[in-house]
Amino acid sequence: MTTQFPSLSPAQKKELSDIAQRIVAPGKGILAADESTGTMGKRLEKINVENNEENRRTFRDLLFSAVDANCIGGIIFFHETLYQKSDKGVPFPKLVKDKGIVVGIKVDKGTAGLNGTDGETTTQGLDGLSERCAQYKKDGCDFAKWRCVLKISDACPSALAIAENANVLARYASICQQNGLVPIVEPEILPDGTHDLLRTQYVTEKVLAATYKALNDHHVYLEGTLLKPNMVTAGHSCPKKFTPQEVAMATVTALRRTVPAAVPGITFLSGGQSEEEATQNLNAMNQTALHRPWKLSFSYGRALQASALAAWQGKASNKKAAQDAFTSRAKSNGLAAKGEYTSTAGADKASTQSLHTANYVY
Amino acid sequence: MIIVMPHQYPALTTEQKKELQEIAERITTPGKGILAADESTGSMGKRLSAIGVDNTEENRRLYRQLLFTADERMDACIGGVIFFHETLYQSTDDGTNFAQLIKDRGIVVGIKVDKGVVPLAGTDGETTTQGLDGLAERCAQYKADGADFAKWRSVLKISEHTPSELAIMENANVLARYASICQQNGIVPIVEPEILPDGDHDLKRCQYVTEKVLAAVYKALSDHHVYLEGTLLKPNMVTPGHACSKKYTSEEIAMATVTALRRTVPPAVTGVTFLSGGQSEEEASINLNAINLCPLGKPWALTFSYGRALQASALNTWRGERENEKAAAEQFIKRAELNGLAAQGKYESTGESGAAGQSLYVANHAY
Repeated sequence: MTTQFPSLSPAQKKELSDIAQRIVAPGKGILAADESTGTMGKRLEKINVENNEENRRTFRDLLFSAVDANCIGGIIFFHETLYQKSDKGVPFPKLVKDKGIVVGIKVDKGTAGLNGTDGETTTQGLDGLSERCAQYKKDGCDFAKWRCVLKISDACPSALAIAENANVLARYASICQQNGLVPIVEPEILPDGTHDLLRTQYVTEKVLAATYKALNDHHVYLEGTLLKPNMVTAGHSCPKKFTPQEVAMATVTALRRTVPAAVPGITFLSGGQSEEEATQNLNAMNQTALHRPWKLSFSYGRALQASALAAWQGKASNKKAAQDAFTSRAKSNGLAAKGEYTSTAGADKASTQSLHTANYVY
Repeated sequence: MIIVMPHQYPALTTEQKKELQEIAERITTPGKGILAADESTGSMGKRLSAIGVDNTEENRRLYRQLLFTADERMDACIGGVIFFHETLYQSTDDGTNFAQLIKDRGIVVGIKVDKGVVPLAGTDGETTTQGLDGLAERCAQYKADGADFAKWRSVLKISEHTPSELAIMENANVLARYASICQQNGIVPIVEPEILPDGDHDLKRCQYVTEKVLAAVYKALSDHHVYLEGTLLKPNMVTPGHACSKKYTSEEIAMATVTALRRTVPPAVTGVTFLSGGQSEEEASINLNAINLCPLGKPWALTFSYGRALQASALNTWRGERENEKAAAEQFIKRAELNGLAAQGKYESTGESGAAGQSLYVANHAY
């Protein structure tokens, strides 16, 4: 039946589109501060800090009090954090919103095994999602995030994994939009493995093509969504090394072949990249010679917080140092989102530019 | 269920990709579009009978000759010409092969390769398109004979129950197979999923259907490993049905069209060359112009691949008389130049548009 039963009114579409545009305004990106309790435990354990609610609150307070709205357009919250308050008793969503930053919320409930596959997964969280979204909207959220995970190996990702994850992402996106939340669509392809850059590019293109077909099938309003993909990089154990320019070219090529221009912004995940790597790669993308109709920005967790965590060590006396480290990374990524970042590590432009290859190699 | 191994078995070498992309870019150089002169013998018969001319091979040759020998003004606004098979092997009065003539003018030669529509059983009069048999060998031959791009037309229609899932899926698939085979033979495939304007549906319905059809087309192209940078798209503009009682401005048509494309056509596609369908020459130019002035980001070239909209006046002026050839060619050149301007948003019709027209663009979230 090719008849339209409009899922959104023009006013709803405008609201979603405006929210998405605000998040990826020029020079801005997303702070992914939505680490689950378990994941936060891993981060805190590394700096010998106990994983309790107060410590989690203190660390997020440290970040949210210092966050600069000039380079951060949105912050993704974990459920618990949405209902916590700052040292001065201000609810975190309000603190962030008053700075002109959009509040987001992680809504998925983690991965679940796909039987009959080689350890592949889908993501759960659709049950009662509509009601949860309505509540989150009331509690100050304007966008949501849902992470699906795929991996590259000899037999993966399988057709089932690609189709199932694309479908569940589209269902999630559709439900979010009904409740005034901009869905960030995250089909992460893990960097684990020995595969090279071209293999990742190929897989990324197949995954994103399936994702956008599913979004279309589910009548999702693309102008009111954001994409959070992996950058196209070689596997962690790949013996061959690639420059930021090669990563940028492969990534932008893959996106140009699959992501419709209607999508306002692409906010990359940093995966296992170091803070500097994540910034340099993002910067290179924004300097690629290929035409990019969407904003290319960041949605970083570790790549924004690693130094801050290390500086903090759980001690109140280190708060300012930690905030400075965070602010510095945020500013650098804000510049990278405009292609204006110059690293102090000073890989000179000339030597890296000569490695630029035309996109028909990809 | 088929287990898909997501390994790449590269369909094209770097050199092949480069060649295809360059051909596509040449055809859609800013200010240039395509002359669709690929009317089959039957279609040409309809055009000629309308002006009282016999449908003979010689008349078809004379007519195409007057177009292909138009003066150098044509070179600035025509990037490619689509030929019908017969025409590719015809020559001018002084024996110059048509394909060679066009190529020597710096215009890219294209060839229609489909073999027409056939019914899809169990549907409400829907069709798919045939022509895949031996297509690789035919493409190789056409390449040797001077062609660098091809065209294949699939057809869909809007009614209460159409286009059906089957029609969308089958036509998307056959277009993708055709495209894949073309690229293997150095030929840039123009992908044409035409949605007919027949019917009383409104602009919104056409936009919705166009989005569904194009999403399926690009998923199929991805599944068939087609190199998008080395393709062109030839879609319908998004318009209301011919029998729709509501009238729309060119700005509304432009906004609906560009919105639909932005939601479905990946930026990697080099160019979109619209078909004119049943539009008049003037309408086709005005709408193309409005499309190029639409205030939304447009990452591909937006130009024309017109048949009737470039030739209607020329045919009417020619009427089969040799002494009318120059005047007829003049009519063709005039439309070609105007469309070349429209492809850059620089067309000023004697009608509305211009500054007054711009204010009529409604924000796209209404679409």
